[in-house]
Order: sequence, then C-alpha cells, then structure tokens
Amino acid sequence: MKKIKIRWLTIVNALIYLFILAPLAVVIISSFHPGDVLLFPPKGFSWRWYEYVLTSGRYEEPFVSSIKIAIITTCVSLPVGTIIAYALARYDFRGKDAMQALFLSPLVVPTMLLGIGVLMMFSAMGLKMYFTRLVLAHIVLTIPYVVRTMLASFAGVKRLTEEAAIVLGASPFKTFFLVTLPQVKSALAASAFLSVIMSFDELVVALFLTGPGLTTLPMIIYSDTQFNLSPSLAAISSLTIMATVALGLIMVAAMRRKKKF
Amino acid sequence: MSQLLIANLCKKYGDNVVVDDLNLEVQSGEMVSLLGPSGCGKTTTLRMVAGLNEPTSGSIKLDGKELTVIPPHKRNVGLVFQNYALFPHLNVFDNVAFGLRRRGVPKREINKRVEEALHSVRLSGLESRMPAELSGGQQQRVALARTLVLQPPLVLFDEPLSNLDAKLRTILRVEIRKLQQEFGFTGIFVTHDQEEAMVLSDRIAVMNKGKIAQIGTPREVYTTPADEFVADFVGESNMLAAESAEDAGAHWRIRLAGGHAVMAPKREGVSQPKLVMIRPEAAELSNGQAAKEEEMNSLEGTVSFIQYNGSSYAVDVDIAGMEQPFKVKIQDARDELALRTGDKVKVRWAFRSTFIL
Repeated sequence: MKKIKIRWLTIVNALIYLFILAPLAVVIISSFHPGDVLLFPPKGFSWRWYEYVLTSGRYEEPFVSSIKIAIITTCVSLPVGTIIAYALARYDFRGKDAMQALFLSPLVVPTMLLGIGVLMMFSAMGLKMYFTRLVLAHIVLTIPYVVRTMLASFAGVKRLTEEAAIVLGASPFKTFFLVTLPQVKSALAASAFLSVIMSFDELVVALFLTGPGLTTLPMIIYSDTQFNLSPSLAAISSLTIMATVALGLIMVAAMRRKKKF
Repeated sequence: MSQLLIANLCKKYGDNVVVDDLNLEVQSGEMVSLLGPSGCGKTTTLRMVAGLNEPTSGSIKLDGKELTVIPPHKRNVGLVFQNYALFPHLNVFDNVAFGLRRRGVPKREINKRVEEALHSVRLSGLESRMPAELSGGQQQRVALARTLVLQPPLVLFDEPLSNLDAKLRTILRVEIRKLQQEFGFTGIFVTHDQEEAMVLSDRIAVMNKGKIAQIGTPREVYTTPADEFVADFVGESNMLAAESAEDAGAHWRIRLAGGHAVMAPKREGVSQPKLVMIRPEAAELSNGQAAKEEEMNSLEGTVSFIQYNGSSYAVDVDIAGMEQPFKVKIQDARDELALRTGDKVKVRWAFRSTFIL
C-alpha cells in the first residue's frame, strides 16, 4: 500500500518537473536548428545562430543595458529593502501592518498598471531620461522581493545576540553590521540574485518607459518573436538560461560553504 | 568592584506593573541573587540595570553615577544570558574578543586577555571552534569569558544555568562563584532555583509580584522567612494554619485544625501567630511509644506516601483534620526505611523548630 503511494507521488513529481523544464528544453534544442525559421524539433545541428548572436552586434547593446539596469536597481533595492525588512522585523510603529501588507504583496498590482502609472507620473514630472526612469521603476518592482526574503531571514536572527553585542559595547549601528547582517548573509545573496533576475527579465514596464536609444534584452527578444522568428531568438534565450543557471549554482555553492557554522 | 544602588525602580506596561517601587543596595564585591517565580519581575529588573529595558521611573546608580541616562553600550556592565547568546557567525576567539575590539584594545593585548579569559573558564585550545560545535556547558563558559574578559565592575546573570542539565548546573554554579571571588566583581544573579541562589550568593532577595519580599543571607531567608510566600518558595515547608493561640510564657500554645495543639517559641514582630511552619528535615518519625522528651511537639498520623531519593527519604503523613499531608524528610537513608504506606506513626519535632508567622 505504502509502496504504491510513493511511486504515485514520484510520477506526479516527475510530471511537475517535466512541465517546468520542458519549455526550457524545447528552446534550447530548437536553438541548434540550422534553418532560417524557428522549428521544433530541429532538422539538423548547427552552432550558426549562436555565432550570429555573439558576433552580429544586434544583441550586445540591449544585453549591456539590461545588465546595467539590473545591477544599479539591485544596488538600491537591496539596501533599502533590507532596512525596511529590519524595521518591520524589529520595531513596532504606527502603520506597521499596512506597510507590511504593502511590501509582502508585490504581485497584487499588475505590472501593466504599474507601467502605465509610472509612465504618466514621469511624463507629468517631465522626466524623459529613459534609463533613469526605468531603473526607478525597477527599484519599486524589486524592493518587495528583497523585503520578503530579508524579513523571513531576520526573524531567524535571535534578538538576544544583538542585545549581547550592545551590552558588550557595540553601538546599535555597529551591532547591525557586525552581528545582524553577518547572520543573514545567504538571504542577502538570495535577495540580490532575485532582484537582478527580476529586473533583467522585466518586459512590460520596460516597454512603457523606454524610448528611442534604449532597448533591453527582453524587449529585443519580444520584438524578435513578432517580427523575426529565427532560431537566433532561441539561441539568445538559451544563453540567458545558461547564465542564470550558472549564477544560481555559484550562489548555492557559496551558501553551502557558509552554512558550516 | 562597585556598589549598586537601585532606588524606587518601577516598570509598567500599561496597567501591568512588572517592577513595583523596588529598592536594592548591593555592596562592592557582593553577589546578590534575585530569586522568585517567573513573572515576579526579576529579569525585567536585571534588564533595566543592563539598559535593555527602560525603567518607567526610579534610579539605578553604580558607584554614585546614574546609569539610567547612559546608553546600554556605554554602561560597561556585564550580562550573561540564559540562552548564551553567542554570535553564531564568529568563532570562540572572536566571540570573546568582541568587547575588547569595540573598546579599541591593541591587538597584542587582545590576544593575551582572550587567552587568559579562556583559561579561567577552562576552554583553552578551543579558540577556533564555532559556537554550534560546542556543548551547552561550553557555550555558557564562552559567554562567561566574553563578559569577564572586559573586567566589568558589575556582572549580571540572567538564569545562565537554566538550559543546562542538572549535573552541569551544580558544577557551573560553583565555578561562577569561584570566578566571582577571583575577579572580585559585584554580581546580581537572577534565578528561580533556590538551591542555586543559596550556593551562589552572599545575600538573596526573594521577589514576588514586582517587589522584594525579603532580603537577607541564605541562612536568614531559609530559617526566618519574612512571610508565607518566602517560607513557601524557599525550601520545602509544612504550613499549618493556627486557629487560636494562647500565651504560655516563653511559648505560644497554638491550636490547629483537627483539634491538635503545638508549642512554638515566641518571636519578635509576631503578636498573634497565624501560621506555623515546620521544615520537613526538622521533623522525625517514630512508631509506637517513643521515650517522652521535653520540648517536643508530636502529631499522630498515617503514612500515605514514601519517596526514596538516594540520600534521603521523603515521607508524607496524613494527619486527621488537616488538608495537606505533613512532609517529613529522613536524612539518614543508610538503612532501609522500616515503614510502609498505611502504618500509624508519630511525627515529632522540637519546639524550637516551630516557626510562627
């Protein structure tokens, strides 16, 4: 009886993994199609489209823009989100519940609405710098993810260790950097990772806020699906997937090492 | 080595008074225990001295300097926590060096002092271990070293032994007492374990409902409790309600429930005895006719329960007309107890072991 149950669960598990991973596999496999039109399954094998992606220069600028936006966004959202999470975790103040609800429900507002709202606001303000306004919007988008991750992690830091540091002579400020933050290192890394990925991957708000001269990688991929359905699309996607997986693995490895204590 | 003076200290959370107008004076180099049940305000008092809780009102002075206006990280008061509160990301050496580094002590001196501190808590050689790799007793020793390395004039202990097993507790409490005498710091030790308080302290302050019910040497608190609460909380006791008392010269003749009567020495401050207290170890049991002795109280009853504790026996005796069984502790357990449950016995104790409240 028990054995059958386990086997059944295994099958369900396998199906779930298949459902998640199959689309990625399809993209990767079809990126090797030598022909001009995206096709699955591919007829033949070739590196042609990878060569094209890496040498044509078509994707270089959007890639660099996306990376820049993702990194600058994270440089702001990580510290700000961390401080907000710490305040929510440690202090009682007026409106705390409302603030917590706001930061813990990042998916409540559709990005479409956010995009329109932010566009109208920036237009009214006369802010026309595409790069800056996209970064600002991405900061708004990514902070909730940082807050959410850090809040859970701060809950695991014993208040007593902070009190011990204070009694031993560390100011509250020093205590935060010497005792609190080192205990949430892996959550910081995870938050940064999430924030970079969220921003790097973001399309909708980017479509609203950018203009001539600024294209992000998701934007060019999206435009390719509409006007240029060649395997180059699959190749650039595959490269992105690989880079993400590699980054993720490095993070996991780093966390494993730190878990020693 | 400093004198601590707590005056009119209060802590209220809304209408809930946790510490109620507390006054306490701790002499230089003295170790005072705050003993009481959970919720009596002892930990809150300690945390206010450390600066981790802010008093609602009152003053805390160390060597004449008002502490309440100094932020906690500048008070230079040691605090040892119940849950050790070691920094999990730092090894033993860095944990102990933490306070020294905050004070800008030169590196060479840090090495020397950390080494000495670890030596005094018998942890030499474990400098590079992480806290998670240590046993509970070792962790608490690191916490002790981390505090003592700073040579604070005042060290506060917040039930530091509660999380350890019984055997380790008895070892560590002696070590703490020896360290206190060696380093000569003034100490306040919060505990709910009366035995711990007895072993560790010069004086015990028994706390109840945010106030100090009695303060005195362990012997004073045990032999002459100030009220029913102290008598009941410190040590085991038989409390018998007095129905009436008549003057019999140097003694009171006290009538108890069930028509029994006992003699108790008079004592200053008690004009009308309400309670009679007899410690279980002051009483003895005899079956049959014992030789008549002067100055002994005696009650007849039936053995209802016997516990063997290794070094002693604890016997409950039901006495007609009394609600609670009379507890008798038989210290000498070398021979097997000749009593069985249901046996008729006489409980006897000296007049002078009868304490009135």
